[in-house]
Parts: sequence; structure tokens; C-alpha cells
Amino acid sequence: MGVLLKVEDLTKSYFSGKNENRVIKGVSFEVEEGEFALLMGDSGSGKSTILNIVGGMDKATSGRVFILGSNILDYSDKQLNEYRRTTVGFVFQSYNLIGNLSALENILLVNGNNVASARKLLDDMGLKDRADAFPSELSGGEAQRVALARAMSKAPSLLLCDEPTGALDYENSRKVISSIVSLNKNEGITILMVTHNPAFLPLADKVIRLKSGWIESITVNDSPLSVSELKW
Amino acid sequence: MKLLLLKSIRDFKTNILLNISIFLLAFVGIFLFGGLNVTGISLKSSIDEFYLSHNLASYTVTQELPFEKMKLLYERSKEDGLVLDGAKQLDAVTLNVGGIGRNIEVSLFTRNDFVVNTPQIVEGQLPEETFEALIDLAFAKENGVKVGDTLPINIEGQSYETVISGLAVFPDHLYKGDAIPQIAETGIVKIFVDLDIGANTFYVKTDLGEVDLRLKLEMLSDMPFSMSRVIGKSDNVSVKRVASDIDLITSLISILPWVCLISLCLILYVNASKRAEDEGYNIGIMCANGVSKSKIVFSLMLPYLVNVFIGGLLGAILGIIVLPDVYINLLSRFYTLPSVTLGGLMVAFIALVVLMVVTTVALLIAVSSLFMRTPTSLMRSAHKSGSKIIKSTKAPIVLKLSLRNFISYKKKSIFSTVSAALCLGLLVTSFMLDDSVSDLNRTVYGKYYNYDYTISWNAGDKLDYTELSERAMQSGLFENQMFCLEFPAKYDGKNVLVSIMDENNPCYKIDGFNADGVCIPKSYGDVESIDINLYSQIPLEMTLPVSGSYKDIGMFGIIVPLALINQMYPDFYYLYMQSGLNTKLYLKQKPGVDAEAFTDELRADYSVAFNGTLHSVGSKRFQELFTVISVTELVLIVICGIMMAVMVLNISSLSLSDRIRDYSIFKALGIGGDKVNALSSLENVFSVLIAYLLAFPIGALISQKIIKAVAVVTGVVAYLHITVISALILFVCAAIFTVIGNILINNKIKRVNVVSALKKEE
Repeated sequence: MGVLLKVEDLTKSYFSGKNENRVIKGVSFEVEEGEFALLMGDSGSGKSTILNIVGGMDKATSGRVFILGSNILDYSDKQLNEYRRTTVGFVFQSYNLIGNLSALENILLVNGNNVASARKLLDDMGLKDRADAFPSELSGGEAQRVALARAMSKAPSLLLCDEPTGALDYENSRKVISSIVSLNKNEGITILMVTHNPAFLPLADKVIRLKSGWIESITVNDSPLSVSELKW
Repeated sequence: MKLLLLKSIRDFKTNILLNISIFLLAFVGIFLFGGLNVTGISLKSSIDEFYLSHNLASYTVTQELPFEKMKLLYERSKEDGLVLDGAKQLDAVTLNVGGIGRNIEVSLFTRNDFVVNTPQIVEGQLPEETFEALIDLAFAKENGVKVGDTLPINIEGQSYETVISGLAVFPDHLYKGDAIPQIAETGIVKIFVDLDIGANTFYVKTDLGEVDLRLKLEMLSDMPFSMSRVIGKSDNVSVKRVASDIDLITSLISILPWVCLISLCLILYVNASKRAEDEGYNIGIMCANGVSKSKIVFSLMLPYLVNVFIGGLLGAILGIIVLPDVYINLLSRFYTLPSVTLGGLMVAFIALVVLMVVTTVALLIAVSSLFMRTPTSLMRSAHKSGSKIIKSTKAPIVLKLSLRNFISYKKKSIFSTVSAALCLGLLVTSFMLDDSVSDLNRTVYGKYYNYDYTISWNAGDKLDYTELSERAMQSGLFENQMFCLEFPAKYDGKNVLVSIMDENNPCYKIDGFNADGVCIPKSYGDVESIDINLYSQIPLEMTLPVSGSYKDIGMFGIIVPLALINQMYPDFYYLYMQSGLNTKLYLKQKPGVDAEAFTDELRADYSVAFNGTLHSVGSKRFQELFTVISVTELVLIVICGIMMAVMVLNISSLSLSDRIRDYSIFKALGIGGDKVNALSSLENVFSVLIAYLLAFPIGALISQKIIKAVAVVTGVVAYLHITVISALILFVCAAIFTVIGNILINNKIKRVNVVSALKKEE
């Protein structure tokens, strides 16, 4: 397995007048192909910021982010757009589905209007009967699984999940995390997931802990559990 | 409360673009509404005041009247309370002023002349002796003449010496296309005569209708008056007629501000509602924390209302200062206007109150609907219910999404579409007016009145029209001719003007009208025959078959072929000669020929009052109207442009605010910029397309009102229409507005930070 994601000396600062607020203070880590990595830490530790930068949605102040050997921080807006469309999938805590498109159409939006493929993804997510439902008609778990299906519809090299179960109850969280882990184990999708939930630790191949913008620790788990084995 | 105020101020700063657009809405709305209204009101009141203060007449009556009869008429009219005045008008009399022979207008008047037309004596006195003259002040100054000087004049071939008794400012003038003529150039001389003058022009100030007035004049003078020409306010060749032009202009102006105000109120309503909805989350938090509803409403309304108030107040002040000045200056290039005193200033401030009320109501309605929800639901980010139209998976997603958004955001879509339709409606009006009226000379007017020379006389002169027409054609000066004999009549209880036409008349071409029947206005519906009571000294009732109809815009007449009249009433010629019909002979002058002398020849040979006018009065009138309409078109286009610019800014702000989440998700998913642009643009395209279609009926309604006001020239019918080219130009204009709006939105979208936008929405 090669390195899919390599973050080097990443920093991010917000400026208010002359005041600099550095939220990422030189972070470096790697995620290998097919790995399921967790990004954990307290609120304000910089998890989501890193995920947004890796996802090509935010700019870093300095550092390098290599995806398959290319530094995306050097990308132009057009290249970043292409990167977001083809290479990386993003699952947000608040689903971010388009309200006026049905579950199926939210997937068709990004998969080149391939109806059969979109239906299969929904089927895989256990949402076969919810294809024509609009986001307002979906439960949180269903909406998140639609968002996951949408992210997967691009067949991304890297799936980024920002607290995907943060707004969900136990049962829905279990369904969503099962789907995510299944993508990793069965499809070999590389996943970088931000979470607060320590219960997911045993599922991950690698756990990157952040504290106040620094890497606190990086732990490698040689024998991750499957979801069914998880005591949760 | 202090904190809520602080929040209001911060919100104002945060949403600066939205606030600027609200400010501009209020500013432009009141600027246009107040300014145009004040312009209209001021013009109308100032000009009315001018005419009222100069005590002008309602009718001009031309009648061959022996001096004894004239005296009788005056005496009896005094007893009857009918205010009339009489004078003989001589159109172009050569007066040797300052050694230079110039054509000026001279009125010979009787002792009673000033009953109606009261000049303001500036120096000297009213004439007391025969051939004393009262001279216009400006004319006297221009030509260096003073009280006591002698003026030689030539009237109907005879020379007279007149002595200037006084200088005055005259209220009434014959003029050519100007509200108040440039007196210094045309010259007005009133010469008192004590002669038995033949034809007279009377000025009558009365509320009576035309036919009743005619009856009364006959009764008072003990002689038939049916051959007189009574000219109403609308087509009186006097200053009063130009006053009607100004009435027309002010009526046009009166439409525009309402269109502006309504469309801007609609946009402001949407904007205010949106503002309240945007605050839903914060309102939920405040409700959850027990903040009183009144405080919440106050904090929400304060910045908005202050913004609207300041924008509206500035608009009102600038509007009533700048717009009347610009518009009146523009008009003064075509009309000599009296000094205009600004009036109706309160209108602008009332409009400001209306705008504040609309804003307050919009906010209250929106906030009330928010208060009906629980604080929890307000704080929860909820998806709008999806619209389920276009289920086909084959339809392009962006198109589908745009259509659904358009329908989901009903209020914004409807209101912005209607406002855009009103704006475009103004533009449609502009083009429709141009298309409908500008070709009248060629179509209706060109055929009917496009004669270079009009001779009118009345048959009381015992002059047979056939004899005159033969003479005209034999003169070699003219290449074509057309008759029109007119007399007033009663039909269906209404006063109508019956026009008897010869076969050259283009009226024969309209809607199946032929020589076997009369042509009546369409408003009378399907009737087979009509009974007409001719008004004359010799009563005549006729039942005439109807063979055609025409649209009656601004006129009501019945057109009868001469052949039919002769057939139905064999003694018509006798009637014509005895009771008198006003007769017009339209002559087409040969190229390069000056036929003006023809009238003088006729006068000399027949000793009757011929009125010969080079270039028909109607044609001139139309040129004036075209000028008025051109100004109005210009104003319409400018106003439409300003309004569309403000609306584009506002709608693009609203669109961005509504869709920022969708745009951000698109960007986050790596969906190409072209699709994001399409998503934002398509909604505007739908809106403008619908607005474009709606604009035509709106424009037609406004144009209809304007055309009705314009069509005051008897016998001229303007058909409302718009050409394909105009429709295409309008389409291009609408497309330009759309493109500008889309460029604005797309530029803003480009600058959207995906992460912060999504975080904000969460």
C-alpha cells in the first residue's frame, strides 16, 4: 500500500486586523491507500479545518498536502474544482443535500446522471424505497446515508467524513458508520473521518489526535474491529 | 433592549449589500414617484392657473354674422348670462413694423371683446376709438414701437392707419404648436374697429355641450347657426388646445409613478419578508430565552425602517427638486411654458409613508408567521419542502433544480417577476406607442388628412362645393382633392358628428364600409340601421343602413357616403345650401407650387370667409403629438432602466442569500462553475421570460390609456400594436437586464467561501 494522503507542516491562521489566530500549527501526517483513519480531538483543535483543507474547500496558510503525490495547495481554483469532483468525496455532519432534489437526484447531480449506478448506491445504503424522497422527508440517518451515497457515486480515491454521525442517534449512527466501514473494507476506499466518538476508535487503522492545532499522537491499530464486533 | 439595538446595528453592518439595495429601492421608488407626481401636478396646476387667470374661452365659434345680428347676440347673451366675446381673426396680415414687412396675427375686435379675453394692460389704455390698437408688450419691445405710434396695416386689400393706444400681455393667441407662443416673433395686435365685419370668431365660455351651445346661439341671434364651426377644447386652434397637450403630458406622467411605486413596493415586500425569514434562527434563540415579542419585532424593524426612511426621504427631497426641473426643462424645448410653481409636494412624503407601511406590514406578516412556529423549529435548520415537478430522471438536473427553486420560493419569484414585468411593461409601452402612433401619418392619417392644403368654408356662403372643387382643380395648383362635409347630429341620445365623405376618402377602406351604408363606431355593436336626427334649422330624420364599423378611440362620428345621402335624401343639396354644413376641401398641392394665394383669390372673388391653411392643421397637430410622445418614450426608457438596475441589484442579492447553501454544496462537490452559474442564471431567465410575456398586456393597458388621451384629433384612429422588430428589441433589452443580473450574481458566487457559507447555514 502506498501513501495516498501526505500532510506536511500544515498551518492555518485567521486574521482579524493585525491579530493572527493560528488554528493549525504545523501538522504533518500520512494516510495510506485503503486505510481508515480517524481525526480526533477537542472542539477547536483544528480537525474540521484540516479536513476542509484536504478536501480542497479551504486554503492553508502554509504547508503541503499531497494527494497521490500532487500538492493540492498549489492547485488553481479550476484544478481544485476538478479535484473535488473526481478525487475526493465529502460527507458533512449536516448532510448538505440539495433541498429541492430527491435522494436519487442528489446523487445524479454528481455521477453524470447514471441512474442505474445511483439506484444501486441507494440500494447498498438500504435506501431503495427512499429514492424519490426529498431531504425534508428523510430522517437524519437516511439523509446522511444519501450524502454518503452521493460522495461514493464519484468513486473517490479519498472519502472525507466530518463528524458524519454527530447529529444522529445511536441506531442511525450505527447504520451510517456501518456503511462507511463497509466502503473501506469492501471497496477499499481510503477514509479520513473526523469524530468525537471514542467508540469508533477500534474500527480505525490509524488514529490522529489533535490538540490546540498540534498533533498530539498518531496511533496505528494493527487489528481493527468490524462494526459487528464493536461493543457500542 | 440596548443589546438588541446593538445587534440591529451589527446586522446592518453585516448585511451591507442587502441594506444598500433596500436603501436604493426606497430612494429610487420615492424619487421617481414623488418627482414625477410633483412634475405632473405642478405642470397642470401652473398651466391651469395661467389659463384660468387669463379667463379663456371654452369654445371657439366661427359664424358669418351681420353686424346687427352680432349686436343682438351680444345684448341677449348678457341677459342670458352667456359669456361670449367676438373678434375677427385675420391669420396673416402684413404689418410694416420698423420698416420691415412681416406677417403677424391681427385681431379686429368689438367693444365687448375683453369680456372673455382680458389682457393685462401694462402701459396706455384700451382702445376707445376706431382703429386704435392694443399691442403685445413683447412685440412692441422687439420692434421698438410705443404708445402713440402709428401702424399701417392692410386688411382685405384696404389700407388703414392704426394708433397704438396701449401695450398689454395677451392671454389668447393663434399660434403654431406652442403652448404660449413666442410673442416677440409672431406679434399680436388687437385693433378696435367699429365696422360691419363679415365673418366672426366668437369665444364662448360655457359648460354647455356643443349642440346645446349651437341651439342657444341660434335662439339668441334669431338666425341659423348650423353652419357655424364650434370647436371644443381638445381641437381648438388656440392656447386652450395646447393646454390639452399639457393635460395629456400630465396624464402620461401620472401613470408612470404608480407603476414605479407598485413594482418597488413588491420588491421591498419580498425583501422585508426575506429579511425576517433570515432572522428566523435568531428569533428562535430570543424566543427560547424569553425575550418579549415586541422587543424582537422592534429590533428587527428598526434598522430596516430607518434604512427605508432615510432612502425614501432623500428620494423625496431629490425627486421633487431634480425631476420636475429636468422634465420641465425637457418639455420647454418643445413648448413655451409659463413659469411652473411646484405643487403637490406632499405626494412624495405620502408615498414615503406608504413605503414605510408596506415595509412594516411585510415585516409584521413575516415575523408573525415565524412567531407561530416553536423556538425549537426556528432554531433547527430545516429543508424547504421539495417541489415535485419534473420527475423525469432524463431532464437536466440543473434545469430541474432551477424550476423547482423558482416554484418553491413562490413569494420571491412571483413578486420579482411581477415587478420586472411592470418595468418591462413601461418599456413595452414605449415601443408600442411608437409603433401605434408613429405610422399614423402613413396609414390612417396619411390617407385621410395628408393633404397640403385645406380650405374650409361654410355653405351659408351659398358656395357650392362642386364649383369650388372644379375651380381648385382647374387652377393647376393641385393634383388631388377630397371633400368632407360635416354637421352635428343626435344619435342614440349622443351628440355625434356626421361626416359626409366623397369616394376618395380612405374611410371607405375600413372594415367593409361601402357606399351603400354608413360606418359607425364598433362600440355600437352589431346594428343594421341607425336613425339620425340631423341638427339643423331644417329638421331632418334619416334611417340609414349600417355597412361598416371602426374602432372609436377618442372620437365618436358617423361616416356617410355622399352617394348614400343623395340617394336617401334627394333634397340634400337643398339642405346643404340652406341649413349649412361645414365644408372642407382637402387639396394635394403639386410639388413646388405655392398655393397660398389661392385662398386670397377665393376671398376676393367670392367675398366669403375662406380659411386656407397650408399643411393641414391635423398634420401639424400630429407632429406636435409625436414630439410629446417621443419625450414620453424617452422618459419611459430612462425610468425603466433605473428601475431595472435597482431591481437587478436587489434580486441578485436576494437570490444569493436564498441559494448560498446550494451554491456552496455545488462547489464543495466539485460541480463545475458553469453549472453553478447556470443554476443561478436559470431562475432569473424564467423570471424574466415570464415578465417579458406579462409585460405585453401591461404595456398594452398603459398604451391604451395613453393612446386614448392622444387620439383627440377627430377622425384619426390609432390601432394599438407592436411590431416584431420592437418585440425583438424588447427581448434583447430583457436579455441584457438578465445578463447583468446574472453577471452580478455569478461574480458574488465566485467570491463565496464554501466552508464559511456552509458553516453559517448550519
